Amino acid sequence: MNGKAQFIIVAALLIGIMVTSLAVSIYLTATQYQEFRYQASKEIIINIDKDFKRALTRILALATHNYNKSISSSLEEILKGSATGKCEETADFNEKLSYWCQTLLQSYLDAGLQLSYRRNLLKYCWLYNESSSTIYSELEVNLTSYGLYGFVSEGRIQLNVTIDSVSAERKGGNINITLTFHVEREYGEPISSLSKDNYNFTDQDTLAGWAISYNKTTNWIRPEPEEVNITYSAGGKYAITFEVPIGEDKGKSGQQKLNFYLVLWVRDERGILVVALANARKE
Amino acid sequence: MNNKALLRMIEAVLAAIVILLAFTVSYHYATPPNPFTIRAKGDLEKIAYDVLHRLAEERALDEILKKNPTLLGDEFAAALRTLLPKNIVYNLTIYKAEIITIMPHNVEGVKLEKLADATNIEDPDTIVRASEVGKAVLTYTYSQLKENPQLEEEFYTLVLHLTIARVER
Repeated sequence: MNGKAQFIIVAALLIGIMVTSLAVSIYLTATQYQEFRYQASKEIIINIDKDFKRALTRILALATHNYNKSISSSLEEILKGSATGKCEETADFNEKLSYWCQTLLQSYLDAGLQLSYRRNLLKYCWLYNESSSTIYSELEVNLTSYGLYGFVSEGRIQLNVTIDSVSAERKGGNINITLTFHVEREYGEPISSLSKDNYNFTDQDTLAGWAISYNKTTNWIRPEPEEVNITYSAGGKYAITFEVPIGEDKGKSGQQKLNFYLVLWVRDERGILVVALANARKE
Repeated sequence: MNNKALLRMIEAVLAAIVILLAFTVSYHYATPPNPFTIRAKGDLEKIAYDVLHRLAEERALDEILKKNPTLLGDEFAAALRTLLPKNIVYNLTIYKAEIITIMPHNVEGVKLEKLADATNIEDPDTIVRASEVGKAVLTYTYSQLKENPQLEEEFYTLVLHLTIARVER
């Protein structure tokens, strides 16, 4: 073999390797592009789902806050002896949901976002032993640009307060009241944020809080913070203790009797409020 | 050793060098120069979404908005400096969705009003020049309870646009 032939072989080998490597590199570029080109559909859906629930939570917090301003007439009825709890349903949060949907549509223009909500319900069941505030809605989401259709976000936000027992024991000139109750959010998740520090909603740094009032003849009295104690015993269960001075209300026998109502306000860390009612009797 | 044999030796060495060079060049072509570059777009988008979700999850926004909304840009700049690596530049713009009336049909719509921004980019062309850029959009609905009945309740949605880019530093 002469030198010229050897160079031709080497040159052929070189060109062959280079052409092959070029083909491989083009192939790899194509496959890697398909593999790694990222579409943020998951993140967008997660954000929509979370913000939908956040919006419902905020709507319920505002609604219960405003509704609380209107229960003074119910409290007066309680004092007149015609105490009844009240359950009300409304769907008048459509305006806020509509605003929220329009904002999202503008935010995700490129994703081809389509939103529709249905089965809206906002319900207050207050001034019962078992009281609750609930909001419910379903949101259907399509991301047409990503080929994602039919995602449904179920938004159920709830706060339940159940008064388990009320006991009244005489102690000198006072009556010791012990009220046990438990607080749960949706799906039975216990609320553990109530403490002596956030009694009477005094702590401005947190939305969580609670308050209690009892009636004395025709007035509602709220004990001072130093007069009430609250203890938490896991699972969302609490016990409140405080003393009520015995009033002038006397029975036929001349002995002092007690028949009064306790109104319990509970607000969780999301700002959702529930008002529950209990009756304490001591003959 | 005669001259012919020496030439053959030199020729063989040269051929070996050429073949080695060819393999080196082909390896360079066949392997992505930096695997990170290929994956970077997706990664940066994920990072951008993760950062925004984290800020929204930890109620940091609530705290900032409650304290002083005018500090929004500065507070976010501080948070992003902590959360993002040093070789990533960011540009965050926060919009507030305002209800507007669209004429002539008197229909209510929503307009995004710029509320604040936070950035560590000095040269506006940095993002244009960067080979890797990620963008994320997050909405955050906010409300505040007003104990004073005279004050109007607050309920609005913020829209956060975050753009991040990887730069050599």
